[in-house]
Formats: sequence, structure tokens, C-alpha cells
Amino acid sequence: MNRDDQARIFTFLVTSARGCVDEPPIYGPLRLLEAYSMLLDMQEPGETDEFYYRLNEKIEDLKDMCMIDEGRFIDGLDRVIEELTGHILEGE
Amino acid sequence: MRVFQGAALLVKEWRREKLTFDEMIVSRRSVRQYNDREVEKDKIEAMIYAAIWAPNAGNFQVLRFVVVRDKGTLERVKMFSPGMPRTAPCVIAICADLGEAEKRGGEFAKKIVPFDAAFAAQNMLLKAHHLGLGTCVIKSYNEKSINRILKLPGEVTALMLVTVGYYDTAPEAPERKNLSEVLHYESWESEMRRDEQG
Repeated sequence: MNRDDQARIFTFLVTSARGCVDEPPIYGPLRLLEAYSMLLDMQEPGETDEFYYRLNEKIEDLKDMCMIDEGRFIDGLDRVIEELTGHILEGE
Repeated sequence: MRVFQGAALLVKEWRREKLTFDEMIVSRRSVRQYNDREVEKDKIEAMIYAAIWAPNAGNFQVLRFVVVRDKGTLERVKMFSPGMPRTAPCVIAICADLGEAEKRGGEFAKKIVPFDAAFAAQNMLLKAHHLGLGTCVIKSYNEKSINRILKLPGEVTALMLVTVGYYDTAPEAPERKNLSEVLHYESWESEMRRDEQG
């Protein structure tokens, strides 16, 4: 992560923290997912397990779903976590 | 392949021009994923022209528009706008001179400026849609930081950001309430008659 990336993610996190005080509660999960995508973008090629990139494609779809159908958004998050759990347990 | 994509684009644009006014309203979406195609200056100016003709309190016309396309400035705006799509190639800040609003129409005018901004934004969104562009209204940003980045003078402030860009796939339609759930005739207690429901 270079200095530009650091500025980007640190600023995003702190600005989001302030924003979340006033914004609708559902925006909080959205900001965290955005941080996931941003951090992934900041990884050097080959540095990160491919699995996390594949997961990001699902996360990108979920971000749209958040504003369309909150129930499907939450279900989608649960499925992503299931995949993450499986991935972590397989790696042990 | 490129020729095919170009033809597909032409068909898409031709279809859009054939949309009725109602279809235009109903098919507009908040677009959060954009492609790399640059937004033409004349299209941006057409959006701003549409905004100029939105209703505004007392015809005071205190709104100003800052268009950001420079990558460096865009990056800074994004850094302080957590709600802004990362792929947006252009953002328009709808700004208002609150000092001028107060001078012309007192505290009342100052208070209702956000309504003017919303009217202007809606005109911009529909015009953009008509031109084949996607847009998304953003309110999740740090206003003070954005004002500094855009070098807004005095009492000018950014009331709303609108991202603009081309997109490959339109988001699916969200559910909307139907008429009978939102419409009351004459008073709140009234109900739409069944034969009046569309």
C-alpha cells in the first residue's frame, strides 16, 4: 500500500465514521463493503488470494442491492459470510 | 467486435429517443457503476441548461454548478465522499450562494435553497437519462471538505453531488409503492375508491 492508497483509505474511513453518525443505519454496512473493495484494489498483484477477488464481484452486486431490496442485501451478506467461513476453514 | 458494439450503442440510443415522457421517468435509475467512456462537454452543458429551468424560490437563481472531470480533483472529492461511486468519471456539485439567498429573500430563502437544488437535480437526472447517461445523487460527503477542495468562496456551499457517466448495465428497478398507498383526495382520511385505482 503506497502513500496515496493510505491517504485514500484513511480518509474514507474517518469521513465515513462522521457520516454514519447522521446517515441511515444501512449505510454503515455499505461503507464497510466499500472499504473491502478499496483495500482489495490496493493489494499488489499476486499478493492476495484469488478467492477474495471473486468474492468482491459478489460484493459489488450487493452494493447495488442495498438500495433496491434490503432483505436481499442482508441475505446476500449472509451468503458471502458463509463462503468466507468455508474458505477459512478449508485453509486450516 | 468494435463495430458490433458501436451498432448496439446506436440502437440503444435510438430506443431511448423513442421513449415517452412517462417511460423516461420510470426507466431512470441511480447508476453506481460506470464505464470508462468520457462524458462530452456539450452533454454536461445540456444538463446544466435543464437545471437552470427548474423552479426556484423567488426566481433568485442562487444555484451554481461545479463540474469536476480532472482525475486529481475527482480523486480528492471521492476521498471525502464515502457515498460516491468509485468509477464515476465526472461529478457535478450543485452549489448555492447562501449569502445571496439571504440578501435577496431573508432567512426563509436561505432555508428553502435545498428544495431549489433538488428541483435542479431532478431536471439534470432526467436530461442525462435522455442523453444516455447514468447519474446518481450523492449526499454522503463531508460538506466542509468538499467546499475547500472545490475552492467555493464565501457563503457558497455544495448542497448535493451528482455523479455522471456512461454505463454498461442499468441497475434493476427497485420496488415502488402503488398509487393507493400514497394518494389521498381532499384529506388524509380519504381512501382511493377501488374503481379509481390504476
